[in-house]
Amino acid sequence: MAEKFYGVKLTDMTGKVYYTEIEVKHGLNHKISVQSHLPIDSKFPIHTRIGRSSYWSGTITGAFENNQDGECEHDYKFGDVNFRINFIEWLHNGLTKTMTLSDELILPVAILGDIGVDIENAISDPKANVSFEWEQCGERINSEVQLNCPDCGQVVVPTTKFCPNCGKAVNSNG
Amino acid sequence: MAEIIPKGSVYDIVDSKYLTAEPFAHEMGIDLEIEVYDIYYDWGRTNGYYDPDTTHELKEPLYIGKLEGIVTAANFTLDSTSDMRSTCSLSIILEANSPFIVQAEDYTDWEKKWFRIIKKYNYLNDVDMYPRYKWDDKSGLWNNNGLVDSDPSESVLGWFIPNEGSFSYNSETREFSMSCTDIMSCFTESRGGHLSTRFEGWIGYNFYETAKAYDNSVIGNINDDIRVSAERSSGFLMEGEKNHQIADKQYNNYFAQASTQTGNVSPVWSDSYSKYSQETSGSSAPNYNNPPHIAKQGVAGLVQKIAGEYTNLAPVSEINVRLQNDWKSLPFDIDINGDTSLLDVLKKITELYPRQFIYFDTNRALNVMQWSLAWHEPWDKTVFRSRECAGFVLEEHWNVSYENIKNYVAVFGRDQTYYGYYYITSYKGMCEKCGRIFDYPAMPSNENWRHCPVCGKDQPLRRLFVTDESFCVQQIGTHKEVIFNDNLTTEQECFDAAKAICLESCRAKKTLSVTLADRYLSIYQRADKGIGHRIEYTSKLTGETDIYTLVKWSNDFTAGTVTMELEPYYTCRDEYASFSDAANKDSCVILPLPSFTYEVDVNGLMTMIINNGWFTKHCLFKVYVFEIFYEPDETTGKYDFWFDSIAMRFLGETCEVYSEETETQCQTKVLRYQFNKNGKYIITCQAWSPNIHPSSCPEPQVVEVNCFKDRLITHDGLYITTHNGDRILCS
Repeated sequence: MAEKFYGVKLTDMTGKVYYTEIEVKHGLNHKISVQSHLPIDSKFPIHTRIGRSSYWSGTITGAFENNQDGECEHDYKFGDVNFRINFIEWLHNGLTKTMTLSDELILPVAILGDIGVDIENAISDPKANVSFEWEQCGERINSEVQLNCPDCGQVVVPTTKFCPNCGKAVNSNG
Repeated sequence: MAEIIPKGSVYDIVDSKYLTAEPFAHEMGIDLEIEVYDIYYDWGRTNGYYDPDTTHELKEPLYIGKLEGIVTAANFTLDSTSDMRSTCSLSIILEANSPFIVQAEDYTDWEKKWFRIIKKYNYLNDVDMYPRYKWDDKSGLWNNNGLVDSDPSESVLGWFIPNEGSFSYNSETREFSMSCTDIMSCFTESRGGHLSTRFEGWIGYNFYETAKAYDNSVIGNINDDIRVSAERSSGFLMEGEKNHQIADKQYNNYFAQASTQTGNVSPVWSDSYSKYSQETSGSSAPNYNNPPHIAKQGVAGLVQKIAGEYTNLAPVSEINVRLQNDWKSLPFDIDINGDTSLLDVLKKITELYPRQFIYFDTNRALNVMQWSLAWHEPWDKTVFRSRECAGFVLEEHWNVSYENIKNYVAVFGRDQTYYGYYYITSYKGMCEKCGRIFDYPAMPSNENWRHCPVCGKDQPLRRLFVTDESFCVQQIGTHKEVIFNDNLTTEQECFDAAKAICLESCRAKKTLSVTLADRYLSIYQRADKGIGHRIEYTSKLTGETDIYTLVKWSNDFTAGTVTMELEPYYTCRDEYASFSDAANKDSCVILPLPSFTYEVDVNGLMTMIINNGWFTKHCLFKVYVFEIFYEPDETTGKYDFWFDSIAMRFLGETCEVYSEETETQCQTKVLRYQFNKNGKYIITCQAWSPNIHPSSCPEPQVVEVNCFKDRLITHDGLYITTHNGDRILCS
């Protein structure tokens, strides 16, 4: 039986993969645009759904520490300043991220304007939690349409040509 | 699903369900579809007169795609008082793969685009609200208004042209914003729509052809075209019934000036013009100071001809004209300068008579129209019923402005020997014998004033409670205006002008603003969306059903609301009662006088039974009341209701059928009203229908209510005095 996913994983077309399971906190919202009106002489309000918007958004807080130098993604090297800086700048590179929150919830997302880093003493603290907001910007990647690397099984963005994990070609049409 | 009530007849059936709110979708979705078109102007390339049988669109707009994305803000306005009837502003986050992203920042490209915007109604929970029908080879959606051709799933909001410089695009958020106006802007200065533009374009093209041509016979033909074009670009004179012998030399000779002043035209033009001048010198030199006359003809044909000649400025699908006296020629000459826009030309014609409009509808048709001047116009019926929106009215607000009200207007004509005047008072009375409407004097100086001046003192005037008459001399004082007008040369013209000004300035100051949740309305199936037409509406504040003109419609898409600006409907011409009889039922212009009986039970509940003959089934009845505190005349034993009838207030209305029509008795309707205090009241009523002038009011009757006992009316510390005089000792 495959290991159940836990934590947060982010990838994009640059091929980089960031994953953490440390001190992860989520705020998850689903949004549509609805106006509620109460007509004169009416007991109940009536509702008008405006447009077609229907998407997920949320906040994530977690300690994205360097787990890319060890043997597996659960081996962390804490206090890596370069890793933190590169991670934050990567988040804001403008590319759509594929965010895995569980095996059942994989979303293409846009990272919104502010990324916060919780530092107690110095940026080289062993642990520094990173907080940011995101919004869904494409259809949810469910198990039917989920694209995995045929070589290593990594979930990849449907439009990508190469697996960000192993570098193999993943999209024959590309 | 409500019972399907057929609409469209002048004589609506007003039954007990007439005012019952129709069902509507409580939870639904709305969305916008924004189609993008390329426009190719045909400036000067095509000429010729408009012939409705042979002339078709010069260039149909070319559909190039849709703006796909999430609309973050959108506002639409249809305003009958504005030259630009349709306007909109919108912001949309374009989809990442939208083909328009490439050019989103190229604002010169957007200038050439037109937009056709359609609102979609998605009935998420009410799929059975608009069932499908299939009759013979026709199929579609049937809605509860009995509209066969209407598709309640969409409404075309109109065609829109972007305003210059109104674009913005944020490449980070992919949000594109713009504001737009309607096609009429092509016929104004804002898009080079003055008359000379059209002919100068034509001239320029012909000059170009002349420069290329080597065959003298061809050059000769082209030169004739140039001469005609040059004359037309200087303006023209539309001949009317009078004045057309007076040659006015003050035209703006726009083309001649531009062509002879160095540096004002391009070298290509000036070279071609020189060549043209040399070839025509010594022969019949063109006289640019004699602009052509458009010979006297019917106004409808004249408008078709002028508008048709300029349709190359914009792709107009059709031209519809229906104006007052449009089979006659203009009453007087109208001269037009070359730098006048086509809109200004048409306005000079439409402003001759009241309630005439120029607008583009959602089918890109240019309409030059007059809407109903009076009740009972078979070609302009009330287009909307109150019950249709009764369930989703969100807000209602009355606006009253007392500024610049004039209810007395005197007009002097061209040489001031002709004059006419007109004044308005809201107090009107009608003679039930001859059907004429007269002023209903508030303070009659003698008894003769209370009777019909034509029929004599056996025929008393009956008060007309027509609630559209918002202002009057007695209420706000006398406001006068004196106008000198060169174009008026008879007393009748002066009178007509005074009346039109007076009606326009006296009563158009009271408006009702109604905000609705955004739901499909039957008027959306119309190409003009019902703007400028009469609609029926029941005020939530007063409870009174009345006829209004839909002056303005606006929609905040993201708020999901629609706001209608309504003006109480008023007539622009005199109406006379033509009372019907069984042999000629269609002759009714004003509803006949109703009669009523009443009884008050021991609890103060009044039951009022009303009818006005066979018209009862077509009428709603309004009831008016006033509490009086005096006794009848000692000698005659009668009450004098004259003064009180002016002060009566609206009590309520009914469409509830009390008994059905039989062979011997007409249908009757009933109003029930619960009095809540003792007193003496006078009551009367009025018959009302959405398409026919309301009736006058029958002689009021006195209702005495004396059923509320033992109610505290005074308290002096020691005793409580009840209404019937009993004194109770306070404990």
